[in-house]
Amino acid sequence: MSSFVELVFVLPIWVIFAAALLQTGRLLFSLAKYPFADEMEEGCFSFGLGAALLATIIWALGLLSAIGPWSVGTLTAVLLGSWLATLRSFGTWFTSFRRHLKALFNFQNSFEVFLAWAAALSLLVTLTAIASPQLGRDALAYHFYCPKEFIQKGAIYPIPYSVNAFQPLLIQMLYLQGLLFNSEVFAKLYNLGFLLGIAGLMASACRIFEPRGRGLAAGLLLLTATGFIAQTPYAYTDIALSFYLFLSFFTMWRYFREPKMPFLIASALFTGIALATKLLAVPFAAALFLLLAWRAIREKGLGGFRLLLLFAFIALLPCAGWYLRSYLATGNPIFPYFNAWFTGHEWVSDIRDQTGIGRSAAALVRAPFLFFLNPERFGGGDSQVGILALILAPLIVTTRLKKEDRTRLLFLVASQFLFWFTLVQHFRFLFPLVPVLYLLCGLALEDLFVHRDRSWRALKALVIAAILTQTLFIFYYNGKLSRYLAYPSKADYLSATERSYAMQTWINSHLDSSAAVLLENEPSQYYLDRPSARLDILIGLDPRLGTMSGEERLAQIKTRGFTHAMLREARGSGEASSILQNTLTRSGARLLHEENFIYGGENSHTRLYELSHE
Amino acid sequence: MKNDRIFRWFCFIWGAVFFWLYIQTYVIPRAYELFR
Repeated sequence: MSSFVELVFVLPIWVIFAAALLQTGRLLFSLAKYPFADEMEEGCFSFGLGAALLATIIWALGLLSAIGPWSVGTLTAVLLGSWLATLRSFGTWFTSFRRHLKALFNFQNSFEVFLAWAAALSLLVTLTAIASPQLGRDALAYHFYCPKEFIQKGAIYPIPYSVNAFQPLLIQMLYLQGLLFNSEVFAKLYNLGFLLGIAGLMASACRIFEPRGRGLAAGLLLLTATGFIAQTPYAYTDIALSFYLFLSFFTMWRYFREPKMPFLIASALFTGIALATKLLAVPFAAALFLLLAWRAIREKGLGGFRLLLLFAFIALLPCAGWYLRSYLATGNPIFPYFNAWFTGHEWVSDIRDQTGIGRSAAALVRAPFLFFLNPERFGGGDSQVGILALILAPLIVTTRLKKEDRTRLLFLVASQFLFWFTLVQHFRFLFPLVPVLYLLCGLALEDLFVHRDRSWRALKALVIAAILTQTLFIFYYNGKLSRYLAYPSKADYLSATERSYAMQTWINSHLDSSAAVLLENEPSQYYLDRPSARLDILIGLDPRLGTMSGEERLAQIKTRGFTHAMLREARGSGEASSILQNTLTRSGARLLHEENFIYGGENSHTRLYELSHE
Repeated sequence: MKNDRIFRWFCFIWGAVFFWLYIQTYVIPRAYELFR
């Protein structure tokens, strides 16, 4: 319940701060005289630019070892102050934005009213879930863990034995701001901002492809896309990535329609921000770059290279620092991926991940269907696109589009799908395509609902049933998170639902501050307030550890300064699953504490050993 | 093409088949888990 109270207080503050970021972005765009089509576009673009600018400044402060409540607090105050100073200009924009919204929400049929209700309910349950104390595995392993470590040190530094600390972490800089103000809710609300940003741009994006299109349906439909909405309450970065890539896709298409420089520059800038958000932006950015190259070279010949160079140069501005930092520290700009290629030292990474259905020709044909029917095979039932896109597939394929648009979209979708299929088959990694897919769904539905014909009724009923199921699943997944409302405190909720929370808080209260803990079979380090590292990463960084005998390995671990080991095993996997267990027992390491965890079908058992130092 | 009667029925049957499969493979197991 206490988290919900936090939401009630933090939400208005976050909204005001988001307005300040938006205003900062607006001022920058007005300096460049960017030709916005409408107020919605101006709002979404400006919020995106403002947030990226804030994150970049926090990153720069971090590199100067100047992260602290004072520096980030002053930065926040300056942004709020400049918003107050330009309140009149903001007010003018806001008045026309409200007028624009009113015109957009002028419902034309009962289907749009139904969609608006579905979207509103989905947003409501998502907002409640955003206040839930953080559980997501990756969030605890690095999206929140890295900023927390940076705050403790007051600097962006290479966290020992952490591979993620070298990756581009632009959005984590925004999380850092929230965590610094002691509010996880504030940090996670950025996700909601990015989600609404994509939904808001749908109407404008629809009009690029169909000038008579309203686009309201596409925007509202996106708010019922199960996977997207189920990820919003977690401190992950896939939604932010999809937002920035959608912005660069959108502006690139604007440029294809009307080859004006501001569109190209904006597209390059947003591509760069996406590249600073997550490594996964690379394939999408590469596809957009190839589309641009194809057009530029065909139309302008060798002169087209100048455009491409300009695009690449601007795209590198926001992200080059991150890749350079990784290169200087590890010799690999995209550490830990393709490490053997850059440094000759192999790193067992996600690329060997076995999630998915294999890479045979039959799998290639089955994968697009199984996304919808059996999403567990691709890394979780909740990270799915929703059934609507599959139901509408024949309509999407036959939607009226210009020939060149059809070719370009086909290239974009096929290249992303093939990249995903060959490398890592986690559905989450296809998220950047979801807004494009929902845009196409929206266009297909505009077509469908234009026909008032009786024979389309059966299909319309099916579409409504599909949207209802998607919305119900948002209640299913985000409703599960909302169980925190039944617990008196955050700690009670976490002890009951997060498998290592009880052990980690025990360590925080019982071990002295010089203790360093090695974790086996547990990537979550966020709730632990002692220096810690993961055994799998230790072995990844030094493969010799993997081939040593138990005793030698233990000696190596001790020489690296670890004083304790926390071993977690899932019930049923047996003792053999632990690399350290037998050695620890034989070497006489003292068992300090044990915790059992049973929740929602997950049983796990955690032991804490003190490594003897005689 | 969109005014083609056969195409309309094809769209409906395609959607209905996959919606039914979705209910079978995805919705029912979760509903079962929820009300178990």
